[in-house]
Amino acid sequence: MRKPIKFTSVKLIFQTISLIGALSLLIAVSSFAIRPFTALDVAIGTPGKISNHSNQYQSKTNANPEHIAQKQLADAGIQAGGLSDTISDSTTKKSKIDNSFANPITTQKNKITKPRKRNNYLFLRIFGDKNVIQLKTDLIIFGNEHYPPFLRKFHTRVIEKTYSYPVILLFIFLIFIFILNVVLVLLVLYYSNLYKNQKARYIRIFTGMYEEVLTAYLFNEINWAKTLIKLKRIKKPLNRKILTSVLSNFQGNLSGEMDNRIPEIYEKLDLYRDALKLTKSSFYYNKVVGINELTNLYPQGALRIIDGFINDKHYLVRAEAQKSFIRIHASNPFEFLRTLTTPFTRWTQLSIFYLFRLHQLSAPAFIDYLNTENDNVRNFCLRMIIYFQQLENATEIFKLFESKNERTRFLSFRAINDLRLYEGKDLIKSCYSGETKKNRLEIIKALKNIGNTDDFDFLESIIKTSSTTEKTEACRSLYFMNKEGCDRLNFMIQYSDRNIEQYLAHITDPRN
Amino acid sequence: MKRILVAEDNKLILETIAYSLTREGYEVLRAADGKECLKIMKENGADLIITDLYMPCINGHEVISVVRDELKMNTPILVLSAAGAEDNVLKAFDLGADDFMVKPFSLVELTVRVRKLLASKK
Repeated sequence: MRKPIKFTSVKLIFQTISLIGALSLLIAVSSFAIRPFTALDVAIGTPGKISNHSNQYQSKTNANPEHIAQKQLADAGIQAGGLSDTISDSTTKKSKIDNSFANPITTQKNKITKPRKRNNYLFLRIFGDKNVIQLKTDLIIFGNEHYPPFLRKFHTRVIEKTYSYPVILLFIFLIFIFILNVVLVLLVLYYSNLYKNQKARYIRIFTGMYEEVLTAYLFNEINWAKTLIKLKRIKKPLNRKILTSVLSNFQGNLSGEMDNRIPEIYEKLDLYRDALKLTKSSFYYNKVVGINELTNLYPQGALRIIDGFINDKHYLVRAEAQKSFIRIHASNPFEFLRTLTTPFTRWTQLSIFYLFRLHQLSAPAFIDYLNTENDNVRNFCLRMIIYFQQLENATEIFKLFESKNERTRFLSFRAINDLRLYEGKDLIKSCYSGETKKNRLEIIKALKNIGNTDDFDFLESIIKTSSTTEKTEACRSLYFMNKEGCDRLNFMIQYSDRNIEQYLAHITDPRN
Repeated sequence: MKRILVAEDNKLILETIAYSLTREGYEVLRAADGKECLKIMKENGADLIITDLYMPCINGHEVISVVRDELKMNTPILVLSAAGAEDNVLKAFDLGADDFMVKPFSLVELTVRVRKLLASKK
C-alpha cells in the first residue's frame, strides 16, 4: 500500500539544499572579505586576521607598542582621526557600565596615529566603528536596565563574546540555522503531502468498495450477514466516516423503496452513535455535522436531541437545528418559533424558507407566532404573512403599530398595504406624525392602494409641508389612487402650488 | 438489447443507475460528463439518453441542444437532476428533452419511465 518515495522529489530537495549551501558559502566568503570589525579587533585585541598579522610583525621587529598599533591601523585602512573620535566617544559612554571593556580601548587610544590606507572606506561610511561600539554599549545598558539581576551578568557575557568572535562565525551559524529550517520545511511539506495523498487514496479505495457492497445489498444480491463480512474495517473511525458519506450520498439521491432501507443500514451499523457523539462535541462544526447526519439518516435520533440545540449559543448550530426541525416536523415545521429566544438571523430565515419551499410543506398560520418576544421571529412571521397572503385574523397585525422595533412597524405598514387591510387605514394615518421617515413613506405608499377621497386632505397636507421625498410619494399616491385624486392634484397645481407640476412630471415619467 | 447512455458526474449514482438498468436487461454506456456523453453518442449512438443537468465541461442543457440541433438525433432524452426549479424544467423541455425526473428519485420509477420512453420510440 505504501507509495515509494519518488526519486525526483528527493533530487529536488538535495538540489535546493546544494543551491542554498553554495549561496551561503558565497555569502560567507564575501562577508569574510569585507569583515567590518577590523579596527575594533585591533582596539580591543580580539583574535583575527589583522591581529595575527600584527603578532607576526611584533615578534619580527620587536618594536614598541605605539609603532605596532600604527602598523595595524594602517593595514586596516582606518583614518586615525575618525577612530580616535569613535573611541573617545564610546569610552565616555562605556565607562558607566563596564571598565573591563573600556580599559583596553583607552589604553590603545594614545598609541593610534594616522593610517596609511583606507581599504574599507565605503563599509565604514555605511556602518562605522562608532556605531558598532555604540550598539554594544546600548545593548549592555538595555540589559542592565530591563533584565532581572541574575540575567544581567549572563547578558553582558553574551554581548562580550559576540563582539570578541569573528563575525564570520556568526554568519556561518546563521546560514546553518537557515539551511536547517529550509530542510525541515521541505521535509514537513513532503511528508504531509505524502500523507494526504495516501489518505485520499485510502478513502477512494474504501468508498468504491463500500459503494459496491451496499449497492449489492440494496438490490438484494447479498444478505446482511454477507454484507457485514464484505464491509471491511468498519470499526475504524475513518472507515465509519466513509461509510456514512456513502449512505448520505445514497439517501440524498435515491427515494422510494430506498427511503427506509438506507436509514436501516445506518442504524444496524450503529453509525448513529458516532453522530450522537459528534453532537456532544465542544466544537460547533462537529455538532453541525452530527445534527445534519442524524437528520438525513436517523430522524428519530435527531428528534430526541434537536430541541436542545434550537437556542444554542452558536448561530450555525442553531441554524442547523432549526433546519433539522423543519425536516423532521413536516406537519408543524415552525413550531420551534414559539421557543426561540436567541437571534434568528436573516440567512437562517432564507435557508429555512428555501427548505420549506423545496419540500413543499404546508404553510402554518404565521399570525399565531406574532405574540413572541423575539423581534426577528416577529419580523419573519410578518414577511411570511405577506408572502402567503394570510388574511385570517390579520387584524392582529394592528397591535404591532406600537412595537418598539422600527422594522416591525415598517413590516406591519407594508402588510396593511399588501394585504389591503382597509380597516387599518385610520390607524396608520394616526401613527404618521410619530414615525421615522422610512415608515412615513411606507404609510403614504399604503394609502395609494387602500386610500379614498377621505384621505385627500391628509395627502395634501403632506404635499404642502413635508420633504421632497414625502411630497413625491404623496403626489404619486394621490395621482394613482383614483380619478378624483388625479383631479385634486391638477386643481392644486392650478390654484395653490405650481411646483407640484414638477413632481407630477416625475411620477408620470415611465422611467420612474 | 437496447442501449442506454447515462451521463452523470456522481459516480455512485451513475453506477447505481447502471446496475439497476443492467438488471432490467439493458446495455448501459457510462459517461462522467457532457463531453464524454456527446463523444459516445457520436461514436456509438444509443437508444436512450439519461442525463444530469449540472456536469463538468458540458452541462445537460447543452447536451440536449447538441443532440437535437447538431447531431440531428431524435433519441429520447430523460433529464435527471436535483435542479427541479420550474425554469430548469421548462428549458430542458424547450431544448428537446422528453422527460424530467427530480432527485432524489425512485429507481423503480426510473425503470418504468425508461421502458415507456423506449416503447414510445418504436
